[in-house]
Amino acid sequence: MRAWLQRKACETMAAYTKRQMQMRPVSCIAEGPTPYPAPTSLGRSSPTGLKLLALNNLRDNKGATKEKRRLGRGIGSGRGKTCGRGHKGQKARGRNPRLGFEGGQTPLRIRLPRRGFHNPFSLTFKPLNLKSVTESVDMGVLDPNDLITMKTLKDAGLVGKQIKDGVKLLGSGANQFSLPLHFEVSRVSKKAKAAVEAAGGSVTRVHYTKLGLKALTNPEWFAKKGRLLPRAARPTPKMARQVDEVGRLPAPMSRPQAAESAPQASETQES
Amino acid sequence: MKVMNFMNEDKGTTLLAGDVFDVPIRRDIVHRVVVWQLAKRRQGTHSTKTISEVSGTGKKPYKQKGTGMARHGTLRGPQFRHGATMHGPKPRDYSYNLPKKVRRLGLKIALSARVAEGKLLVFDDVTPSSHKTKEMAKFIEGLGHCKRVLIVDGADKVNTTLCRATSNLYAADVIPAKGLNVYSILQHDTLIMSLDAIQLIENRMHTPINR
Repeated sequence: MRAWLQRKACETMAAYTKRQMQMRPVSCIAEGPTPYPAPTSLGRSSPTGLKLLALNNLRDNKGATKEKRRLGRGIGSGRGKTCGRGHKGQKARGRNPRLGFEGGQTPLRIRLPRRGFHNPFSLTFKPLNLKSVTESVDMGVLDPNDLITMKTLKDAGLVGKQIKDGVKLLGSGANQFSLPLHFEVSRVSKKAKAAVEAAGGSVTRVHYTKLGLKALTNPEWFAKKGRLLPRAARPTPKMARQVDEVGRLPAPMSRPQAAESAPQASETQES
Repeated sequence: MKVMNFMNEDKGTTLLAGDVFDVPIRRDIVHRVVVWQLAKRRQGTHSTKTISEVSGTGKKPYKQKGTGMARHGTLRGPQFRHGATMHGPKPRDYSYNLPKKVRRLGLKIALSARVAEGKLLVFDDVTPSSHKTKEMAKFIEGLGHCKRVLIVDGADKVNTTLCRATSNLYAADVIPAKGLNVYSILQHDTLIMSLDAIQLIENRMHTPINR
């Protein structure tokens, strides 16, 4: 300390200003790169001091780390002594009753009646509204000239990443629907079908099993495993009443008889 | 980018890949990479004894009641001298897997920062003319405003002349191109890379990450 004071006392004004000039950081580093450093001197823009990236100016973003909750470290922390557990009792002593236990009273889950059964044969279809279809055609995500199969819908992102048992076309936005599109989906609602056919398109209800859907939407998986694509499976008699035809594998690009697509649509309408 | 060599001869110019040497500076990513590097090099060989490991019997020292002293079941509890350490450190591994994309981006940012500061020098060949440390020290002094310089060679084994010339210098460090890492770049304010090294780094940054 004394040496420092003595040094300070001996310093002249000139020396002091010179030292201050040297210590003042040069702040022109970030104004673009200096492409050609002179061979004998480096970094004209930042001789000493502040660097763009150095070990002493690294920090993570605000909110990246959160401080841990430390219990029992004094009154000032707010969580000393009882550590947020209150006074005495079972909960304070680290022994909690099992979840759902109500002290011996009949718990809620026992008081309420059981209901229903689980149907292992039920099928879950992903909904697709006509509104989404028009929006995606407008945005250019869906091509109106191609046949719209469940594969194209999945690739466009309209039905999410998991098509459970198929896609059902629903009629929200049917009033504004006017594009002549041809669909091949699992099921269709009455309103949606009427709207599509009024616009000049067609809806064919096709049957795919879960394996068939995998082959339809992700044929690369089979190639990677070295397997052939499976054959399209026929539906059970009950399912057959709810579909028009068996789905085709691999993914079809267009309706089978393009010239007869209009009469075919009317045939399926009748059947 | 100007290419030179240890003689300060002008060897022409070279183009550096923009997606490796000119990325936006993200301090937080570099922070994470440096923390990861320092954590994974921790030895973690600290150890304390729990109550089961402290030597001594588990016998109750004296009877529960009647002695007038405080009740105890063991003489090796944490409150005792020579007792156990509660929740003390045990040998452990501090390393963790930082996402490979983050590691790669950190390296790119560090290189871009040095380019932006003007502290990256490109040499066509990083072999000095003489093995004398004096010559190397003079060269580094000639660079000016350079406290520590990192010299990156392209080969797998850095050539011996360079090693000999720099081994006793605090201000100079040498690494092969495959050893280039963010912490080393940040420790040194100047970076000298050979053309081979730059090519290797650019190729490495352009190959897709192995999953």
